[in-house]
Amino acid sequence: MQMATISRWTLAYFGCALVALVAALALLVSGFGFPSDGLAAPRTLIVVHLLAIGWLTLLMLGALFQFLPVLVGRELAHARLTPLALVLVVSGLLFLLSGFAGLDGWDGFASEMLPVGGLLLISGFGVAAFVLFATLLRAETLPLPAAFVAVALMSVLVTALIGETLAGALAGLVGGEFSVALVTHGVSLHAGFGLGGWLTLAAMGVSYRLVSMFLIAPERKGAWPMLVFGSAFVALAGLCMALGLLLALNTSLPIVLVVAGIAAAVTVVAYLGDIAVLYRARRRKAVELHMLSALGAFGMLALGAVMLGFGLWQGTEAAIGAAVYVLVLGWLSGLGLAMLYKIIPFLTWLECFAPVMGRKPTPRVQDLVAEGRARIWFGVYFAAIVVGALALLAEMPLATRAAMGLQLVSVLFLIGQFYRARRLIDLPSPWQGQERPRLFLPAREPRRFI
Amino acid sequence: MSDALELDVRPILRNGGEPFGAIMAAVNSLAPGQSFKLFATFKPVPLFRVMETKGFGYEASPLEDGDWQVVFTPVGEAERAALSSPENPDSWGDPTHYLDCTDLDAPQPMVEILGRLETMDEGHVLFALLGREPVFLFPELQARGHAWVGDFDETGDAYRLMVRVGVRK
Repeated sequence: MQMATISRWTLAYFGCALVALVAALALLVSGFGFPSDGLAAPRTLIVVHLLAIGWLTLLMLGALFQFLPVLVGRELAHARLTPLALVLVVSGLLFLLSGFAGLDGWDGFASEMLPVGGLLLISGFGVAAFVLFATLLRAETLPLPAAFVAVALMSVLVTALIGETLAGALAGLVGGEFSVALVTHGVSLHAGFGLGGWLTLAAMGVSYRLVSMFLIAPERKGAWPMLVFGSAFVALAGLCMALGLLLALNTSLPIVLVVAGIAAAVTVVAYLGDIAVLYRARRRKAVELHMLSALGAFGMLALGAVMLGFGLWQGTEAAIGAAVYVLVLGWLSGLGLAMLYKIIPFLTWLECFAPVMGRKPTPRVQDLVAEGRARIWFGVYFAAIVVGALALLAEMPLATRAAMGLQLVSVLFLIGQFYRARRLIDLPSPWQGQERPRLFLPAREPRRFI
Repeated sequence: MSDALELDVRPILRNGGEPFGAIMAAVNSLAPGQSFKLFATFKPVPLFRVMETKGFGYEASPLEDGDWQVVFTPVGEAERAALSSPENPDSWGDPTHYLDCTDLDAPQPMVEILGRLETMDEGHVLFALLGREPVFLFPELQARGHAWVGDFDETGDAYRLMVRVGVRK
């Protein structure tokens, strides 16, 4: 049956993700991890994985469980497995972080926890990928955004497999020349597959549809979006080739990575061009706050890509760290927060008002939020990213932490807004008596159909 | 009810002409409830289907010289609606309500469509044009006992949806 219903566990994923984001920012503000520690230091790895897995991956998986059925017009396959994937990923992450703590020499933690966490993560991602691929296979045709998601899902599995091998090497389970080569060359591949292949491609695919949907702009078709997909594919193929070389010969061939880098740059430029066309072709002239904030995230993608190119060319830790900071907290996190600002009220609205649509007056989705208040904090968030990046480049740790502090405050405020939307606090008075949905536990049993 | 409108297309046919345009012009000029009597040199079977979709029943009788007389009578809206079956969209009548939701953002199209359906009687059909496939609407249509068919147009830019109102619950 061609239909989509509310994904029952999506808000639980979002809840866990936001907790991880707050924890990671709080650690950064307290001077834990980069730039106080090195880019590859265990404490930095704790923050990075808290952000990449705890925040961004859980956010993306929760969103995909809800969004992929909308994209392909089919119900989510094996939806019962989604809480299992959540438990596996969260417990895997906790083991992984404990392993890094062990690597850092904390009492009671051992680096052997790394591969255990890795195995749990692989099984969690495996379950999630199974659910999503099975849903994709139900589709009659594969729209381009879904193709991005398919490639992204393969990337998350590759990322986890490389990560597990790295974990084995760091825990001392894999030795010899291979482990040296892996730690020397494998980390950038792990990061490339994770931040590029998985998170960025999934975000691009999802945003193609969401941006055209929210702005009421005709969907992008033809050669241009195919160029985005094609060049992303070439970049990933380059990473795969580099991985193959590493596994077979314990070596790295820089030219392959240069080609992958150029293809990735083409992807970003072509994608941003597409997004610009969508904004210009919109039939809805007024831009709501979530789409305005998304502009900030797209700007951060452009800035972060330029900075990453510069950083890799320079080879300095500060420049690379600043670029990754802009890409992770500006582009991916900024886009995530902007989309949550629309998705949470939308799902809440559906849950509360779908049964009475057309029978009683219903509020608008925008009535669940107070844009005026949130507008300032989205502004603060993106401004803090720019300040933080400059401070990282200038190697001014205190200024960096102050900027991250501002980010933490704005994130906490936005979470407060999500809470208000969920609790229906900002709804106009005619609907104040409306029964409230659960905060983030699964929605009550979906309506049974005869 | 006013008298039947008569049209004799035999001269056109005998001259090798194509009478369809003249027939449609006559049909479109009918007053509500008015019948339509057609004379032709053969039994115009293809026309029966066309007229059925326009809400006309027919009665065809042969004349002495091999010609045919067909009387098309409009079927009452209520009668037609009750005759149509939810499972067979071919049996549904012409839409009586139209909505263009292409410029509305989600979930407004759902609100408009479900609101309009509440005002319609069982068996009546709503035609709605949307910017995309309304996947969240379908569970609601199902829960309320409506039947629907839909597809994208040739360009893939607009989704065409027909909903037949089900039994009030």
